[in-house]
Amino acid sequence: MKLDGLRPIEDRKIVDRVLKGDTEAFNLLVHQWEKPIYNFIFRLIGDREEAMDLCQESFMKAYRELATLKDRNRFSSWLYRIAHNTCYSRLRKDIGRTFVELDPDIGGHRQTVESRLAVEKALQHLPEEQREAVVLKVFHDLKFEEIAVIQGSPVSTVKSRLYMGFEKLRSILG
Amino acid sequence: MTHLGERITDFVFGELAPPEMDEARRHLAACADCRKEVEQFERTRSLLKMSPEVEPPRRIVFEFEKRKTNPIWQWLAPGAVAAAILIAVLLASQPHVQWNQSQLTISFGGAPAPAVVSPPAPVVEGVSAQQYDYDRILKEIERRLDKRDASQLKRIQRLQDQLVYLKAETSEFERVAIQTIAASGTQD
Repeated sequence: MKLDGLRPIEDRKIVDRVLKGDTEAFNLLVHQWEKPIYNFIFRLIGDREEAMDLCQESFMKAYRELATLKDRNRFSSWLYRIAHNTCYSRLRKDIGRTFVELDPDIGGHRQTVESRLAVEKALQHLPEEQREAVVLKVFHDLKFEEIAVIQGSPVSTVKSRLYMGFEKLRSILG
Repeated sequence: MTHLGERITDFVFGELAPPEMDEARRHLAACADCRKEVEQFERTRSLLKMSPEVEPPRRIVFEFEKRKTNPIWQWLAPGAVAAAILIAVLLASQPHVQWNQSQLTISFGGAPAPAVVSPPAPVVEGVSAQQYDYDRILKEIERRLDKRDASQLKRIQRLQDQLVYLKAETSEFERVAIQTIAASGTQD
């Protein structure tokens, strides 16, 4: 199959189409971003089903607020910001409750499962802001400036969070 | 140069400007403490990276309400005779002001009804396996693009959208197939 030449459609073009009335095109944005957004939320929350609900909620908010997106070239940062807000309002609601599902049902080798569990556990020991900075940097390869926009914090704060998060992870993971 | 300190994050993630990067490298060559810290930082990053991405348990697909047409217009649409009778009745019962209002409401001028977009209702949609001749579809797209036929651009866009979906679906099937084969291999 000769599919390698196909590139995902640019977010900006899809956003334009949705705003011009082609609402079905929004599903393309969902399709392109559901996995990264789901993984971002899952690593932040630690519970698979809860993450799925929050992911769905984030996309619904994104659809409803799409017209407010100022820079259409920055759809992904904007979407992460929505997911961030959705997660934090849930986390604030559930203060004291810890989501540590750690279900090893992902298939694959035992070593992979163990590594994943160790990482998930270690991440859950970090304060939320540090955890989020680490997740966005390590797993989503975002720039410090992008993370700063998502977290609504100065770049210097994001760097400190990442640094402190890594220090703590180092002591946990060895 | 002083020790890297918190700038280690910029260094490890390659976010220092080129001159600063060079300076940091020179410092690392001479400073065992910073070198050790960078190594530990890299090690932690590698350990984190060993945790793979997970697949969402469900796919999200939004369903949107179709464009609503004016029900009065639909009522009129079957035929000009029915419309004429209705207008006659309206004229007879409410001669002036009501007539103008009726015209606006019914959209006699053929004005389209406003698109009604309801909040999307998320549904879970299964992925179905289908066989497509991708090469043929791509060739067709290329052929149409070569012709630069503006009237076909929308169709081409749709075809490309479908291919994006198909590509993702194919990788999902491949992933499941690989897992199944791996599982059966373990059992053997």
